[in-house]
Amino acid sequence: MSNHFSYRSALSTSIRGLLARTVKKSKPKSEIPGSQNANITDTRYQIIKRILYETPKPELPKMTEQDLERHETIDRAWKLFLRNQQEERENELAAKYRKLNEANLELEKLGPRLFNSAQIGNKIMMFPRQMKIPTETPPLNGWNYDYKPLSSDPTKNSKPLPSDPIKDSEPLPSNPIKDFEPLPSDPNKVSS
Amino acid sequence: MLTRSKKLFLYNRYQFLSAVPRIFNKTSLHTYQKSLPPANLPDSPSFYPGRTSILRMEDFYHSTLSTDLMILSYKDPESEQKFIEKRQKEHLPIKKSVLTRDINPFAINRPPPKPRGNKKRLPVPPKQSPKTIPKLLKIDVHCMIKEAIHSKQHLLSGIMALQCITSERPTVVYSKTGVAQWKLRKDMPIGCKVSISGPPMYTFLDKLVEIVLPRMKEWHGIPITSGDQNGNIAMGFPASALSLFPDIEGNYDMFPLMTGFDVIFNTTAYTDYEGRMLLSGFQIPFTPRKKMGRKGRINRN
Repeated sequence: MSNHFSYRSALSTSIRGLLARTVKKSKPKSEIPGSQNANITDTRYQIIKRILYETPKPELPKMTEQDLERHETIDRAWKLFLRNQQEERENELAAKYRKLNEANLELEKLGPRLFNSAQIGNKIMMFPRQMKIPTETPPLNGWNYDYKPLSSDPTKNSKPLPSDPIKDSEPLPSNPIKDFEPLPSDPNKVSS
Repeated sequence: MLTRSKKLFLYNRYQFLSAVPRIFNKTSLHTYQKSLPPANLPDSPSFYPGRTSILRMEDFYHSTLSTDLMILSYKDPESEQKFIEKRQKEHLPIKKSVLTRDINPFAINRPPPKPRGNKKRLPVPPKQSPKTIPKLLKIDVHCMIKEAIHSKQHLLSGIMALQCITSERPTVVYSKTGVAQWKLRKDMPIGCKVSISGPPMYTFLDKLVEIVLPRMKEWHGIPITSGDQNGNIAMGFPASALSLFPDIEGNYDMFPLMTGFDVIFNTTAYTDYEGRMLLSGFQIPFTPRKKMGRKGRINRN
């Protein structure tokens, strides 16, 4: 008649008794007054746990047929734009590479001296530390008119005046390779 | 228990997830569910809502770095051939009898023999072209949390920290072997890692280069010897570096445990030299060698 209300435990009575005896009934360390483990740590972990694993599932937008059409159109247009951009870049690079290769082959025919000096060979080349990656807005400290590059002569201790307090707080690492030169700036590039 | 094949499947599908938290990806494909909703719809686990700002680093790479790298990494055909042959070189096997493998019909489908002296065979690069210009593929951020041995909850701090930094949900790393000295057992959750690519990667790189690295104390750059000889460069950060990130600096008190972490830059370069060249373009400093003698020489290959 009311069998569905009598739930049978998966564990037998004897095992349950054993478990009840073995479990130590004591207060957690954090709640003992004057304990080293402050309660603050436990609550922080609880909060983090809840944020990571128990945040409610976000409501996904319910899209109508027209919404779906709009979404797909925009998605396709964006992907097409990216694809065109990528193709443009690839073509530009391919053309540059072709010219570079042709120039190199021509140089090889001219003679060994020029050709060998043109190859990078065993020179170690890296981008200079002074190079600035373009930003949307100009720097807060403005342009440093008193900047002096580090001289290759180690006896002269001419450090550049700190323009960027974050970057120039420590001295720039001295370059061990003497014929290192910063890469020439492209005159056609728009400086930002 | 996930079987190996299932693990790979999940890894491939949810590898570069961004906005959707991991708990929503627990859906496993039922036998009657042959395909997931398409990736461009928000229902799909691999849906990426799109970039929310301009990616300074990516734009810089495409506009400036790629052409410069193409010129700098260009090799004349002779040296290129030498390099490819060096990588293709097959080292002598341990047992001489293996050399008669081709003649022996019983040895047809056996695995390739181990090389003598434990020599590695590195990947063979393709012929140079505008498509083989070194590019930053992904960044792996990994955090090993020792305190998780005695109390698993310390992992949460690491997971939260990595998620704040990278904007991606990290996965938990389990120990592969046990070390009794450290009370470590096998298959114990001991750390967390996250792999980021695309927009989250470039924003992370931007934060690192502009904010974190300049403010680090007593740090002179990545050692020039860093690298796995195949273009991937790694660096480690102390726990103090975590507090320099703007995402964590804002609510520093909410993190119970500050952990150190390591960052691995995965590039498409086939040599450490090219990988370093690429990263120096993104303004990541490297310490030069103090000595320039025989031991101090940097190998270009």
